Formats: sequence, C-alpha cells, structure tokens
Amino acid sequence: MTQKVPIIIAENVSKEYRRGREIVKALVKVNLEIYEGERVCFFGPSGSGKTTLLNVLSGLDQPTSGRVILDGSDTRELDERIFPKIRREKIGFIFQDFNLIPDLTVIENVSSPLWPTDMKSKKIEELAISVLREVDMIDRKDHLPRQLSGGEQQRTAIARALITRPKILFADEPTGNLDSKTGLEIMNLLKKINANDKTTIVVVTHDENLLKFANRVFEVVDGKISLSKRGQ
Amino acid sequence: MGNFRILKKSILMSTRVKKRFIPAVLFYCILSWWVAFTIQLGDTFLVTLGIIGGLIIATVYGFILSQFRKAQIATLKCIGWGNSNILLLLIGEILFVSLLGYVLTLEIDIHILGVSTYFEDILIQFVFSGPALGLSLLVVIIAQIPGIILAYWRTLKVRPIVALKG
Repeated sequence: MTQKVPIIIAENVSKEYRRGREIVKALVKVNLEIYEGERVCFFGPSGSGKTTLLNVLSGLDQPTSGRVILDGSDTRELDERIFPKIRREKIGFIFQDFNLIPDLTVIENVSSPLWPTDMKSKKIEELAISVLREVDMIDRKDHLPRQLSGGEQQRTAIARALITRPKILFADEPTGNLDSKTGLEIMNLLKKINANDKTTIVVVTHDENLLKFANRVFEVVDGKISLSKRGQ
Repeated sequence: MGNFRILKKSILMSTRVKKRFIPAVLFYCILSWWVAFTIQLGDTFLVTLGIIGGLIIATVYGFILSQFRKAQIATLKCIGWGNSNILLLLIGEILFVSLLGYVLTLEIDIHILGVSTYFEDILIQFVFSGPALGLSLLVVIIAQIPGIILAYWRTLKVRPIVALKG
C-alpha cells in the first residue's frame, strides 16, 4: 500500500480582515492535509471564505494565525525574493477570468512563466508547443486572447500553468465564466492532467457540477471547513 | 538570457498596444524636437520648459503603464515573475517608446536637411547640430528616470493576490 504524502498542510489557519470598524473572520482555525496527486474541491457559497482559503494555501496571502506548509516550506518564511521561484517551479494558477496577457499570442502567454529563467528560447518554445498539443490548442498558437473563445482562453491558461510542470495546480472558479459544456471539457482536461502527471489539483467553486471531479470535497461555510461526502 | 528575453518581449508588447504606443512615440518625438530646437536657439528658458515637459510626460507615461498593466503585473507575479523581472519589462517598454520618438526626430531632421537645399532660408533653423541632437537624446533618457521609479514603486505595491480578484 502506498503511503499518502501531504503536499499542503494547514494547521490552525485563521484569517481576519478589518472592514471599517468590523473584524471579519474569513477563516476560522482551518486544519487540513492535501496529498500528492489528489483532486480536492473547496465548495461553498459566495463569501464563505473559499477564495481566501485558496489564497492562503497557495501562499498568495498570509494567515493571521496558524501556518501553511507548502511542499515542505512554511509560507510565512518565504519572502518575495524566494517566492517567485517557488511559484514558477511548484505552483500553477488557473483563474476564473483566465488572466491571459492580452498583448501576447497564445504561445507567448504559455511560455511567459519561463521567460525570466536561463532556459534557451528554443527549448521554451518546444515546451510551449508540447503543452499546447496537450490542451489541444496548437492550431491557435499565434492567435491573441481576444480572438479566442472562453474555453480556448481557459485551455491556454491551463497550458501556461502546466509549462513548468508544477506539483500543484490551484484553480479559482475555473469554469465560472464558461458555459456548462465547455466547463465540463475543462474539468475533464484537469482530470486528465491529474491522471497523467499526478499533479495535485485544488479547485475552489460554488458549482455543484464540479464536485464529481474531486477525490475529496470540503464544504466551506463561514470560514470553517468540513469534509463532505460528495467527493468520489 | 532571461533578462534579454524580457527586454525583447517588452518591445513587442509595447508595439501591440497601438492606442498607447503611437501617442507616446509622438509625444517623445515632439519633446526631443523641442529640446534640440531650443538648445540650438540657445534659449535657456525654453530648454528648461522642454526638460520639465519631458519629466511630466515620462512620469505620466510610467503611471499609465503601471496602471494599465496592474492586473497583468499581478498575474505575472502569480506565474513566478519577480519584481526585478517586471521592472525590466516596464523599463524596456518606456525606453523603447522614448528612443523611438527620438529616432523619429532624427529621421524627420534628415529629411528636412535634404529639402533645405531648396528652402534654405526657412528650413535651415530646423536642421539641428550634432550637440543639439546629442543633448536632446540625453534629456529624453534622463527624463525617463522618474517615470521608471514611479512605475517600479507601483509594481512593488501590486500583490499577486490582485490577479484572483478579477
């Protein structure tokens, strides 16, 4: 029997915001472990704290108290000089609004995470072509984002997240701006990536239709999480 | 290698935003023209006016650039770009646009030089000397410094989390 290796650990994670005079408790003592190669969904209504949780788990934001261990590193100890490298090498992000750079073509967008590295341009192009094939976007590689449909833009964003072969993919409402059929295609693509590369996939959503893609589903309500039975 | 690649891409990115690129190049062209012309005239007040104008244009351009690219800067941070990489992208764009404006001035001046054979009386004052053109280039480059500092300061303030806020 293979042992499950936790890739993300949250210990007593709380996050509070100040809104005027009021203190909003976005996360309340969250404890969880996410294992390598898992597909995890955080499900909850708008304002429940699920995006805050994704921000904190991915290291984009720091918890007010508690700690997050991301692939062996405590996120509180990673400063803005080290974090870019970790984001580039270990983490991929998929956004609801795709967040492609509008002035760059598909292949340029996909290769952009590797531009700051010392890798040769030829090698970067080869990698970009390879991931574009994987997401079935190779025919559109010279198009600008505005010339693409929503589904194509999201596939491009996934290719961009994949080019560095990250260990973890964080997706914030990845189908939020897509119709249900395209959303289903995107989730199948993520499932395929998870199966092929053993990439850990963490999805935040309010869409119940996405829950069947997850191994485990956590419900987020008022900043508290609980394991749901709705996962696979 | 990475830095050179980012500079190359910054040039490419600047040319693709035509709404910003063309007016900015024209502004810098007018600026370098004005500075070269007033230096040649020897009017210190007008030269100073040109330098102040240049500083204002460059600062506004640095502000516009960092403002319009705010969401992109956040996204780039999410995908692993550091502040220095983003600064390079902005410097490349700012310097390319300003130098292109200067080159346009040179190009126009060469044409004026050609035509001035026929209309010497009117056009000779617009044929700039080497020192005037050199000083104009210096002003165009130095004027970028506050714009670049402003753009960098604003870049530092952009948190990657902004990318997830849509």
